[in-house]
Amino acid sequence: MTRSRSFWLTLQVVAIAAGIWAGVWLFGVVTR
Amino acid sequence: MNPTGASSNVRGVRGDGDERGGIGAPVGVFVSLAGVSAALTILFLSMRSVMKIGGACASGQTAFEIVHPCPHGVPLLMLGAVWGGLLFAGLYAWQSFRNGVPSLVALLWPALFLSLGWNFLQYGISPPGDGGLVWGWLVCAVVFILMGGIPLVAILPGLLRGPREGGATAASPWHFGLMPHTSLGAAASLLSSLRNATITSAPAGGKDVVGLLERLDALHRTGSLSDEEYERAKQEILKGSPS
Repeated sequence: MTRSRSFWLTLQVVAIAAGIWAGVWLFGVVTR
Repeated sequence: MNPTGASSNVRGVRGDGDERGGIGAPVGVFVSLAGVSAALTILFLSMRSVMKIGGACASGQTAFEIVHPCPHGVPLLMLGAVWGGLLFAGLYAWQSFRNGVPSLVALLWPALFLSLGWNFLQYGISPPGDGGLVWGWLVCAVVFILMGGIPLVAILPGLLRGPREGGATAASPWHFGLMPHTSLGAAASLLSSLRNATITSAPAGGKDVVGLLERLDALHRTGSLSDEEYERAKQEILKGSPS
């Protein structure tokens, strides 16, 4: 199965958003 | 060399669309990029929490009385974010390279320095307490913004050009397109073009061959390719061209 550039770009945008969310959450949890 | 284009015969970097259909590549890219994003976010927020209390803090058991204790958990978070960020960045670069995935790895440096530079700028203009401008932080802001902004400006043309480079059959990963002005980027891009020219079933047009040979010669003259690599690459081009 080949994957398009759009797929990879979307995946990476979602990954960045997920990472930022996880970072904010972890920071909030640890510094509480 | 397999004229039907079986990618399993091609060693090294796989081109875009050469994945074997597994879930490994998307998961690897997702996890590593999410990891580096989380690390950058934690570093950004940790820096802000320290700047809010004056820009410096201490923690741990010492013989001295600590005047500015660090916010709870921040020292470990910063250490974790720095080392974790490096680890995830390396993993991301490796995953995107080996799977031929369009990569944003070149944007990690600007992301780091521009985000931290923003903190210096904001707190340099509006420091905690009643003080005026903090020139030390403003100098850092200028330095960090330049360190992040100049590479970003240099990278953007390649980033925007990446998907279109080479036309519809191009399989060069974006991270090669993100280094358009370096010999390494140009050599990698050319070698990727050569590999694609040999694994696709369509014969290389005369114009493509001449263009490839000219670029190859330019790389050889600048020293990006050794004599041996140049001869090998030239033979591959000539083998793939119509007689």
